Amino acid sequence: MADWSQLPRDLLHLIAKRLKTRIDLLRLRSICSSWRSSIALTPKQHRHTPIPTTDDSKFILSLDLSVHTVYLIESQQEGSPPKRWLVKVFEDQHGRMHLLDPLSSSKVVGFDNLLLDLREFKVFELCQEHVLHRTAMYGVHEPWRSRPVVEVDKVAFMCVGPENNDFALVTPHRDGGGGGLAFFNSRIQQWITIGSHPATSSCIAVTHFEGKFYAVDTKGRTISIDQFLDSKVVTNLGSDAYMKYLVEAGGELLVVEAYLPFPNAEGLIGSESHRGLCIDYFEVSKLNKEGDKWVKVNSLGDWVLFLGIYSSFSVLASELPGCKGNCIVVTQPRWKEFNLDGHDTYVVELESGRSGPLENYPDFSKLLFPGDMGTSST
Amino acid sequence: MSNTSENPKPSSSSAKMTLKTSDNELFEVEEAVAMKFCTVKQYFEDEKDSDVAARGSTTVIPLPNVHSAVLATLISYGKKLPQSNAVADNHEEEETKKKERKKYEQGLLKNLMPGELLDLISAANYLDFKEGLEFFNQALADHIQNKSVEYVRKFFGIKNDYEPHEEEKYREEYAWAFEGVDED
Repeated sequence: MADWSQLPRDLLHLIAKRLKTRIDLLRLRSICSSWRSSIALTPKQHRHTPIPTTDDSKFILSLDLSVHTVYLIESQQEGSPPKRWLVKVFEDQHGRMHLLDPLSSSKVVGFDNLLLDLREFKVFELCQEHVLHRTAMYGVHEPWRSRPVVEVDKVAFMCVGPENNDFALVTPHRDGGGGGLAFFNSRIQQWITIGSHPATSSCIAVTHFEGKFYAVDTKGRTISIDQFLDSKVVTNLGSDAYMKYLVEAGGELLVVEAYLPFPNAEGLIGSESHRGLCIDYFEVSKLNKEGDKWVKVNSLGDWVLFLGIYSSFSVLASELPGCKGNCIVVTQPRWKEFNLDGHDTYVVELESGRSGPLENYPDFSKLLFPGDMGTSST
Repeated sequence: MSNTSENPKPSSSSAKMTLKTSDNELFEVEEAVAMKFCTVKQYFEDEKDSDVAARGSTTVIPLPNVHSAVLATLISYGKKLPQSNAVADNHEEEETKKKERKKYEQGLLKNLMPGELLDLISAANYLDFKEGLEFFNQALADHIQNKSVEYVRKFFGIKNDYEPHEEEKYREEYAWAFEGVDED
């Protein structure tokens, strides 16, 4: 009776248009050959977008916007419970896929020619992280230092305009910007400085939430900016927390403040002899409905927050087999003689205040791809 | 439940139209609802031009491609939509109607079989029933979202007609191939 394979082309096309992620579109195309020919593949967006730099930057060779996508993937194998992983993927301008650590976004190496056939997995796109790759050439006067250096900056991204091709960006100013923010609109193709914060504070977290950008600085000042550059000081956390993260969970904007155990503990972060998480405790607040005050939150409920270097995201513990809710997974840079030597990831249980390295929490550690997937498979 | 009638009588004639399905069942439908089926609207307007006494009398419009069960659902959905010529509701009434509609939509989708969904989409397309088509298309898209290829094939009852070597050709679309070598 019902013969879907005879579904007229234009109807199929209409249905395909309503799929939210590209993965779903690819899956639909894989169903059968006649569907494949009926469903067009839309071009990928913002895979690697060059951005004009500011006029006075003599050292910047190029600035590119890249997207990292976080997925929750599940493998379905007969007879055993489904296994899930959090995967962060980056596709470069040449179409090559790179596996990134979900929190530090650094490349995961050692997986030669690993192939994941997406048709064998359930794939849920969780969120996207945007970063700016800044290729700079310092030391132009000293030939021996004239290798280009690529720096990565966090950036908040927002689609503007109906067609989804236009976007706005907000990124904390690098040194010399007076601690403010740089705003970019793809339609105008120019960077604008926002924020007259005194030089003693600088923005350390930016995010996009419900049509506006939010930024929080080291002193706890929070501002919101919309695409028309209408900015307003939202509220003040009034804290000097070592680190602040902005993350959305359950439809609400949260700010997570990380406190060091004692003043001058920052020295600990750079010290090789200190082991373990330097953070003494975390405090979580959420933005109230009116959007003008941070309200302390005592428990995250079933949510787990993943606080990364460039961005953060949240997942319900019920979606992560074996994992408890009301936890924070956070990454801390590891230093070796003033050079960044990688990152260490810790899990913090907000209820008890206990924390430990990721290895102590096997349900979490096998979650971050590749987890316990074993050796590479072709 | 709501005490307002489902179709407040339009100020002009409350003409009813009769639609005849493929299994020869007759459905009497208010003009306001039937007009949402643009194919019907077109037919009615064509008839109107040719027959002066058409207004007020029942016109039987044949729908040979639509089965009664399907038409019943589409009419029922059409009735729940805001009527274009109805008296404007105040905000409260609008909110109540919206909530009712959502509940109705959820109930409708819950028990739908894949075959029925196909019939509804095909019929809505044939009748040029825009809102119905949008709704059922979206319901379908939502349902297959995040599901595996095998599930979707089973759901639609479609066989995989790819030869292995053909699948290989398209593999790069849906496979993530991570190269271990860092070329930067």
